[in-house]
Amino acid sequence: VLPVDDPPNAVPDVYRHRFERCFRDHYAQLLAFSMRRVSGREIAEDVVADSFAVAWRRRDRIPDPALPWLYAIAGRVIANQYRATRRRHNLDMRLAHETGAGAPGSDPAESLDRRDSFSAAFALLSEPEREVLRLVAWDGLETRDAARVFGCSPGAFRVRLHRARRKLAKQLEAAGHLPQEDRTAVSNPAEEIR
Amino acid sequence: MTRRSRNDDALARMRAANPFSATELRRAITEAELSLAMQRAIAVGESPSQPIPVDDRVAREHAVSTRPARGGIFSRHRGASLGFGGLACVAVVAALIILSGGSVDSVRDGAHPTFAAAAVKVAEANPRLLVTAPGWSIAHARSFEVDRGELIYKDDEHPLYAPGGRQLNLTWYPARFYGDRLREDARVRTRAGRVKPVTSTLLGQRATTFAYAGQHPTFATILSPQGNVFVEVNGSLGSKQKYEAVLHSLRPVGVDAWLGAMPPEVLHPAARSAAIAQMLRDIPVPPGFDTSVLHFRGMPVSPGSNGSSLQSESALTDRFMLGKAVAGAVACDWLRSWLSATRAGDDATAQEAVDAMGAAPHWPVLLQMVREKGYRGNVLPPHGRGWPSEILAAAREIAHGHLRRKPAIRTIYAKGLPAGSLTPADAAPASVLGCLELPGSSRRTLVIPDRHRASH
Repeated sequence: VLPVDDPPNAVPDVYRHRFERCFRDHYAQLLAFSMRRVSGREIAEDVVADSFAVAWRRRDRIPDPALPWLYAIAGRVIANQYRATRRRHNLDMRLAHETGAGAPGSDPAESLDRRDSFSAAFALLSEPEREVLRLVAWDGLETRDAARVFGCSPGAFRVRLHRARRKLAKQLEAAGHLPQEDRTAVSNPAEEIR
Repeated sequence: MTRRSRNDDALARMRAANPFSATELRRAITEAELSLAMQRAIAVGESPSQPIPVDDRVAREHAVSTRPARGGIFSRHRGASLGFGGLACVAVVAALIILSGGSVDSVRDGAHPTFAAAAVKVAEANPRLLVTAPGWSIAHARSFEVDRGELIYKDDEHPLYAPGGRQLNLTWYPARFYGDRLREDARVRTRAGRVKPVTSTLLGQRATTFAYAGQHPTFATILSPQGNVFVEVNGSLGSKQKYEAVLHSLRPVGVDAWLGAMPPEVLHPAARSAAIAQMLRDIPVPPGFDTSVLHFRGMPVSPGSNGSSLQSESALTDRFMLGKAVAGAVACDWLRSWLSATRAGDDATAQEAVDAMGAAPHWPVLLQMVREKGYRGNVLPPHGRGWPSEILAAAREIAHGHLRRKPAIRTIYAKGLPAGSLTPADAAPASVLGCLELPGSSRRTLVIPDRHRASH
């Protein structure tokens, strides 16, 4: 870990305006990004605070557009800072289940609506597959920016996205929420993603 | 249907299922909230002790280019300085041994008040490891039961809730989960690749340590089971050396010494009762509210649980959790009172509940709770900002004559086991508060279909 050696402190307010504009423009987007990835608004707000704290330290080099850069920071904050919490949470949930605290309280069939079925299909994808889809469908990023946030080349991202979409479609199809595939037609990632 | 259109349709379904819209969030966030959030981010950013992300290449290059020599000097001297630290640590432990009559395990302190029988039972079943590194002490006991518990250690030099604050978690779990936990940790991947464990011997037990690189390098050490439990220690202390120095200061102690090291407000029954009484002092309490129940049910009813297993006499909790339990119980009681009075046409009682809940922005217990979360001032954050604000939202609802009970917290299940809970953005405050027994409240459950379960 390197110590923070913060050059903007030498000239305090030169970049402040840029940071404040960036904060106001993107706070809601970053909060939504975090809420889609961590459980609970409180934790999401912590993620956003930590992410903008990094942006504050780097306010002399906030890129334009700033959003993919902020998403990448928030992604790392979530991955690094909350990993241990998630691991503990998983085990706690298992323990809670053993003791009956979190046992299913109702007939699943009675409360599942279409959105829940979608969630069930989504939950069956791997985390990288889910993340690829989130970046494009929920965070609204173009392939190039999404690839940057994900940490791979745009080409590799296209392939990942293609596979993730295909897998999601399969799961939805299995759940009866998409029509069966016509296997005579073929496609490839390059055709699908522009 | 072609594969391509099918895949497009899947993505369209995904877009439609977006759980949180940034546009709606932006609309809901006020200027005051935004300013508060910005102040908080800047305060964290200003902290000189916050590490920078290791993946932030620009920052790293800058730091290296501006202070190359300093890093080199540190790296050469780190071993020596930690060596002295280690010696100091050994000296402190040796002094403890001598003062305690030759054995750390026999440290006794008869001055402590009598502990609750349940707490002694927990201690007797526990390896009772204490961090003996200077400056470290237990800040909270998040849970405290025979087969599971979590102690949060704080470092006096780096206050827990301040930016850059350090904490070490010591948890214990049933021994039967030992293998699961090792496998779970070994499966974790970071950007640098799969996390590889390092095994060693600590206090005569096999110790498996996992290192997670990242913005806050985290280390987790799992000790082999002892009796019916195994212990895991984890923390993000700034460097591997600092973590190891604290880890190797762990020592087993006797029952009294271990219980005596617990924070008084959460362990000693009398102190805990006093804390509850203090919290209740400035809150309007509903008629017939049974305060004695709280003494035995210190743990909050967490959303998504049925609450029964968490409410044991032995379950301990930190001040924030105690605040949740107390304020939550009072609020739920008022909401119940309002509901039944409204249905019975008893306007006076309903108005009493509205007035009592309307005073919630001034409840000291809530103000204290939000201060612990880093907010400043004497104003509670607006709705959606932390648990206490849910009480305010419920108060507003009954003031307007309608208490929402849907949508409620949902529990998500995967492979037949609870995998997490989902709080919808528009979840009813009564549900978030855990007023589960309110008539008509619903718990929704999401279950992965059986046919998928079979394949996992």
